[in-house]
Amino acid sequence: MLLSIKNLDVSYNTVAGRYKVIDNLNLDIQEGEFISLVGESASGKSTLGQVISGMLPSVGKATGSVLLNDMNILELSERDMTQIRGTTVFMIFQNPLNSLNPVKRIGDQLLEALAIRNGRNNKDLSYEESKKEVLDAMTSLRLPDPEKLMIRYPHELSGGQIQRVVICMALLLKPKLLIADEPTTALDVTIQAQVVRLLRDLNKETNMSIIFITHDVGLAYVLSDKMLVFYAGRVMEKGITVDIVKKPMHPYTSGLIASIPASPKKTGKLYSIPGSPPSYLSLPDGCKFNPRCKFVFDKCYHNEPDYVMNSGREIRCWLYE
Amino acid sequence: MSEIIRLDNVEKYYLAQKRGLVDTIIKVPKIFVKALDGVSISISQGSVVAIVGESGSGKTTLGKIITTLENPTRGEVFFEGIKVEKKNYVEIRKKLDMVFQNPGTSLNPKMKIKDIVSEPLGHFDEKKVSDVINEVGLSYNEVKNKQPREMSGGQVQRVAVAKALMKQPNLLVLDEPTSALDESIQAQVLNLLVDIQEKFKLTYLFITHNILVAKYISDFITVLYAGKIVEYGPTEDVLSKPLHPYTQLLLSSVPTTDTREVKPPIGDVPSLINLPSGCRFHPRCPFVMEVCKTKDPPLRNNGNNQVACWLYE
Amino acid sequence: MIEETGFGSKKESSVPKPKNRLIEYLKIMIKDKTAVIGLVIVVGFLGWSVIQGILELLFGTSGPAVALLPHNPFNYNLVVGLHGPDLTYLLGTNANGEDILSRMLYAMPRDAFISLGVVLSAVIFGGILGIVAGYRGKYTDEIIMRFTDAFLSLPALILVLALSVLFNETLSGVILALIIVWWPIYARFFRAQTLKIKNMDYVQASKLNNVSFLKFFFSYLFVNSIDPVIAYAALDFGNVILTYSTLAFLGIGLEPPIPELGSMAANGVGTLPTGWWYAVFPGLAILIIVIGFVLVGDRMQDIISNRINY
Repeated sequence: MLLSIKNLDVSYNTVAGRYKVIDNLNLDIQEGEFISLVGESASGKSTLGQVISGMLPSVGKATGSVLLNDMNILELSERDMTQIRGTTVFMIFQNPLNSLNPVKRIGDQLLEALAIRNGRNNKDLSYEESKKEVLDAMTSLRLPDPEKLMIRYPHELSGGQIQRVVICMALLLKPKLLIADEPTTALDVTIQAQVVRLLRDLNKETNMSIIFITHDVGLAYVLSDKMLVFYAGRVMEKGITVDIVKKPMHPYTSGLIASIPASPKKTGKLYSIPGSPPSYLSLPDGCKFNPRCKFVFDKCYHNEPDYVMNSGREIRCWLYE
Repeated sequence: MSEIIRLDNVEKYYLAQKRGLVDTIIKVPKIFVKALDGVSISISQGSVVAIVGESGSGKTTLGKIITTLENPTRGEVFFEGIKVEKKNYVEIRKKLDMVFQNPGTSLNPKMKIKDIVSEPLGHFDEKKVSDVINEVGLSYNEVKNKQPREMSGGQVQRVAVAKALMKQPNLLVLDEPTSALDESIQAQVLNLLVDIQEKFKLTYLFITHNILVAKYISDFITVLYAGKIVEYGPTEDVLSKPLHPYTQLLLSSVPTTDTREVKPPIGDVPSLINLPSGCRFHPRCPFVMEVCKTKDPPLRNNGNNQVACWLYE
Repeated sequence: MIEETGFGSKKESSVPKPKNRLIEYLKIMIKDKTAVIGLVIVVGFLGWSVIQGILELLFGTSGPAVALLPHNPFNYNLVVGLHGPDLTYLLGTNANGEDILSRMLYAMPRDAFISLGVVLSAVIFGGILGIVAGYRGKYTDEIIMRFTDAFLSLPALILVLALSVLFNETLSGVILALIIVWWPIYARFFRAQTLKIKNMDYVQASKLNNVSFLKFFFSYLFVNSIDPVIAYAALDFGNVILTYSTLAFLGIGLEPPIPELGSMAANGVGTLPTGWWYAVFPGLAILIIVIGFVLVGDRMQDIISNRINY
């Protein structure tokens, strides 16, 4: 098992108080799996990505066990963590403008990435060999004009191009696990489609495990094998993507999918989940979704549901006990 | 139905670089960003028209020109049949309003909600303000003294709609009003917008990059690419049988829960400073012909639709 | 370079924003120990200045104005002249036998009020010019900014001295000189902020609502530019007090018999090293007050520029 998370709890300690953003999360990822974390903003999905890559801000505290390649991330020092980042776990961020070093040329940054990987594998390549490998990687990702691109600076590229360069870095680093935190949210839909296909190719051709964090259920459907649906820091439904999307079981999941516009207004009102996501400082008792759930009954108000297996999925809902 | 907005061959060019005094003296040639390069459109009263495009398409510029926040470099704009000129800006601005994308910046962060909503009126009329705030699904007493930063994104957008309603405008331009909201909230706000439009018989210009939202809310759809309209028509027609290759590729790029495949076009959006010769889509077009590389196709009628493509000439 | 739709992360956040900004700021303020010290000094200084200041305004130098002080600062008593610090005269006496502590306490409100007046005037005047320059741009901007630059290019202390002398070294002259030297930096601040906000959606939207010029200027441009200015102004209070005390030290802007911290220090220099308390304590007072403002202002700047993670 590449990644094994058990009983993960994450809390933030802020001026506004201490609040828990992830509750009792369990997740196993094998090599080559493509997982999506789906949820709305502040649902905890990004926080999970930060925990796995060891980039939780200092106000956050994580307890439980996060075993990546049999190493417990939560117990590693920052120094050890730096050794892991890049070749074991690599992260792509949402805002392309923040991803690359603005004062270094693209080629230099890619060569640096390659050097890091070679360094960790005790391999030594000459400059010509390294450069060739970088150019090959860029060509395989269909980046236009690789030779010219190498001498450019990040500010000369568009957001989509930067994300593709970052994916090229991932191709060179060959991490076991790639975490992509909403990498296409800031991109146009056609560019998003290009980037998304690159990620899928990366996963299929190099057997790289990918965790894809998104709020777009459609994207998750196109890309991932398995899906986790987040709400208020809890995983409400976990299972095979196609099954969940075609036959959602948790009321939140079905509400979320139903509220995606798919047909013209004249065929009827868009389904919308009433209310709004709760504040972490004042979560309701029992199931966190109970104020908005249309199937709510008495037990939901008092006890928080545990994980149950049902039809090959894990669900946190009293309807399925 | 009368025509509420008409654009005749509108061009909007921005200077790509600031020109200093020396540049003007030695006559350095001006470099332009061609945000809009000849756009002609006619919108009927009471319809919901979606302006769909990606970045660089010119959709936000189009919205700004229609609301008179920018004036065209060339070409003419007509509002309710009257030519839009600086001298009648004030009159025209009373009849239209705009809702912006980013809830963080669409309202004055230092003003209270009740003052924000009563601003179009000029004076404070509690009955009218509370009516319109209730109309958008908020409780007047709860929000009246709050500031925008104390409210969620969805609530802020509702207030923006309330502020617009206060004016009783004929035309409402909405620039990606739900793009920054979560899905569940987006659905609520979209429903609200549909209700308001039907109740008050407003005309909507709905700018968005989200095809699914456009499919839901609009009667007509305009597809913009690099500053030009490439396709226009009734939404159902355009989305079910797209004519222009860009529209087809745009639709196939959208991830839906129908298929597990996306088929994007190759390449990137072109630079608005150095547009490709001929048809600006030709470098990426799977059906490109010789004529596309040299001549720019005009927007022509094709049944109920309009399309700018040599495939249909 | 074409900018792609940078609408970034979704806005619908579940973390509530605290209701009262002031309380939020105070909480973060006190997390830093040095800022607490600064806060204590500033609140003490300003609080005292308000109370004593009102008394002085109403009653001048007579009875009730000196009621709160340990001794009457104007009590001539040559017998206890240049007496060292002891239990009756906590900080000692000056050459005339007047209690130094009382004189210092009597002098403080003037520093506070003058500083307040100067900073306020500088903010208003600089604000108007800066906002107009930032909003209108082009030639207006150039002209106003070159005018501002002219003032900024001259060293502040020299300019204040020159102007004070020009205005015949009166108190009002000194205040005017201080204002003239102080407004340019605020003009720059406001201009920078205005440039940031003039393209914001809500500013554009207000054009559609035919808002009156005054309302637009104040409620849209001024009010939204003022946050970083407030943080800087807090720090600046200390600067004005320091400059004003320096002028008093040089004997400019005095109104005898009213004591001034700076002039007391100057007078005390002559009695060093035997009558050390005469020069040291007023100087120390100036130092402590200015440090207080600097600590508070610095912390405020950190908070406003989001350098603090909270």
